[in-house]
Amino acid sequence: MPEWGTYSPSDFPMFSDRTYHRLFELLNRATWPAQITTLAAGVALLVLLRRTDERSGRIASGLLAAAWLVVAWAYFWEKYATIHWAGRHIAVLFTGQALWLGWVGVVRGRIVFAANEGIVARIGIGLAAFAVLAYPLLARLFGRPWAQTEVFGLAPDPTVAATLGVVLAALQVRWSLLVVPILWSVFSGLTLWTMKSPDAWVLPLLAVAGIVMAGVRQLRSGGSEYSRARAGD
Amino acid sequence: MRPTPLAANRTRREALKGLTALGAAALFGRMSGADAGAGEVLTRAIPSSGERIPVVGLGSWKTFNVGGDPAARGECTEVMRRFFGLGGRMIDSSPMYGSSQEVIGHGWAQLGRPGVLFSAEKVWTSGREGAAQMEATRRRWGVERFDLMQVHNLQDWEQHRPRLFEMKAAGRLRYVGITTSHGRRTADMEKIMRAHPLDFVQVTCNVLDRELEQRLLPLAQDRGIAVIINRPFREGSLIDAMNRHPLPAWAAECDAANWAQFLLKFIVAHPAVTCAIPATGNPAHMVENMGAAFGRLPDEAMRRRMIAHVGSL
Repeated sequence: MPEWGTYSPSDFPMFSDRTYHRLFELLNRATWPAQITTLAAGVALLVLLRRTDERSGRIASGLLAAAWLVVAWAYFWEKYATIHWAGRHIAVLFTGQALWLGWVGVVRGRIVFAANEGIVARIGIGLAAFAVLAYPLLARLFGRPWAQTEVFGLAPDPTVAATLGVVLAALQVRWSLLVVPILWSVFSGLTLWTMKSPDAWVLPLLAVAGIVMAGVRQLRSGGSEYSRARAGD
Repeated sequence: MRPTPLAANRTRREALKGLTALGAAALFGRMSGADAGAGEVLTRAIPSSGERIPVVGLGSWKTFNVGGDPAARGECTEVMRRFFGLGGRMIDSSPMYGSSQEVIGHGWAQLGRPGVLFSAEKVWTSGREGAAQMEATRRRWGVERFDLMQVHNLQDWEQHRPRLFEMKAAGRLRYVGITTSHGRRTADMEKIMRAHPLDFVQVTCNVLDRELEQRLLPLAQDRGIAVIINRPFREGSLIDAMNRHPLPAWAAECDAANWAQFLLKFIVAHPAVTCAIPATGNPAHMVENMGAAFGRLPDEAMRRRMIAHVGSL
């Protein structure tokens, strides 16, 4: 294996920013009109986040798990792996996250939403809404063409941001569901930062906000009888 | 096989033939007179063989890693077409560079596999997996054998060393080298250069990063080792910074018509340097870069003036 200590972060985006952003254009072209479906799934997720029954939690978890699977396959396996040797390893990681989401949220039903109960849940819903509705606008906002837009359920960053929102919107913080999203937020932020992309701060900032809010939720209600009862622990 | 003077002439003829195919008028019509192409391409001898290669080659780090994007692959092919057309020969890549090897292989095939290519590759894995990686790399390029195989960042050098020298002895590659970048592991590199009959070393050097001029470059001269300079523009940041300032009028004294040529001519003027390998996926930048391989080079006094000028900006 390479001697990683002799490398620096700037060695790892092995592609230009132009190539990186073109990848989303190629992804969008290859998957069109799947964007309509994933956007609809994202809106459905936002609706489900406002419902407190267990079934809604299971369906939302299933939608999110499916989104992670699609990103793993369509983006990392099919596109990103053509420009980065780690692409297929990351695809496996995203698949693992999809399976874990399926196990925790769908099979075991451990993701139940708190609706608008408290500031943390509201921030979670806001974060998910940003991921689904605003993230696709960022490319244009930062001067890239519409064709390079990043859409929930196809591109990793909005999918990760939506996951942060879902975890915050749940009654009990599932820290294990945050590991891969946080790792990707760091990786993505570093990648964009080393390419001097003006939007490098977006996902890391959302991840930091997510961690802080998850900590607040843990402190405030993680140990309460109500949360444990509602979350099935 | 070592080239004869005739082979060198043939190389030039092939390059000119490539220019014709490109449509020389169309190409030169887009260039200013000093951009490229006036006179013979400047070459340096590889000390271990005497073979002469142009002082400007083509790197592929980041710029050729475009995956399956057909439009970007087309641009990379155009870069290669202009590079060969202007007399360029050495193209350098690595298994670390994502799809760059495939993109080079694609471009070379599209251009009809011009024989002027001097293929420089690297092995970047454990010694145990080295043979398989080099074979996979060879298939991606579509070459029969590599001209130069280098151990990337000295990765598992001791394990690769016997195989590479065996391959050279068997005629399965022509030259053996080692690489580093950003000034890493230079002490290890010096030890290897003193102990083994290397043909090439590849290191980072530019008008601002000149530490290697003190020890490593003189050592290469003493040991008869060719030197390839990578990242001459600090991955573009140096040229971006310079482009905010006007090119000094005295740059014309060494036939530098733009900052790219100014920075490259500074590097290749060092007597220990065999060639510099700026990476670009932009055909216009390639033409600018190749311009550094034509005309006069700065002497030592002008090199010092260049250092002072860039330092003052």
